[in-house]
Amino acid sequence: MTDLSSDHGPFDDLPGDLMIWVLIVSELLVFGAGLAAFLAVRATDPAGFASAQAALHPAAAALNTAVLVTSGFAAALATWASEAERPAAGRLWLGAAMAFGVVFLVVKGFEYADLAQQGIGVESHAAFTFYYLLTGFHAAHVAAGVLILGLVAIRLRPYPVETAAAFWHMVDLVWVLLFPVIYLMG
Amino acid sequence: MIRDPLPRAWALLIGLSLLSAALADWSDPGRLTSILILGLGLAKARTILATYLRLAGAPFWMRGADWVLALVEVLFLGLYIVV
Repeated sequence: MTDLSSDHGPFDDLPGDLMIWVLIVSELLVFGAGLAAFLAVRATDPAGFASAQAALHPAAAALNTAVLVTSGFAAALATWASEAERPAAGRLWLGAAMAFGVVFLVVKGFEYADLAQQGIGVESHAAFTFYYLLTGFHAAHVAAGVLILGLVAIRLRPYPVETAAAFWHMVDLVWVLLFPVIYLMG
Repeated sequence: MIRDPLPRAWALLIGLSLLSAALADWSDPGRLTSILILGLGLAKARTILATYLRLAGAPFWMRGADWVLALVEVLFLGLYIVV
């Protein structure tokens, strides 16, 4: 017999705050639409997109993938530590997540600098317009994420740490979709 | 064998990333390689959703995420194969 007095619904099972999930889904829709547009425009000029892709740095992007998933691991451990009321460990893991985030931005900066040195800019080709738009917008999220992780580390409490870590995982999630589409798919 | 889900997910993500890079580096990335690489990207996305974002403990939402990832795969593959 069904227990009609139960108020338990699907939203009760959702880990973390509902609003952070609204943000995660919104961001995924924005980046998903950007990647779909990238693939659609690519269909009109496959040779041009292939030669543009050859100028990119897949090894640097692969390194950044490892850096970002490791950073996500550190953020997940920070969530666990804050819930276990271990503030020192929580701050340590948040610091590690932030440090990896900074490494990601430094590697990305080298990538942009090298492309600029080759004279490649936003208007060089449609592929680069998408490249700079999508990876630049993502890098802005990484910078914001580093700041947010730093803010929640000041006064470590489980709820803000979990929310900040969820934002950080969203940044990670977007990157694992950007990486193959922009850098690897020939 | 790593038993704790978090380090296991991290090891899986690193392994899948290495595999993607190796596949892309292995030869001129042809259509099949690219499809495999996209599949590996979506497997990484699922791992992040299930473990880092803890959806594995919420089957209803995990099923929803699986549907969304499947739709993304169909959309991206459809656009990719058009070329």
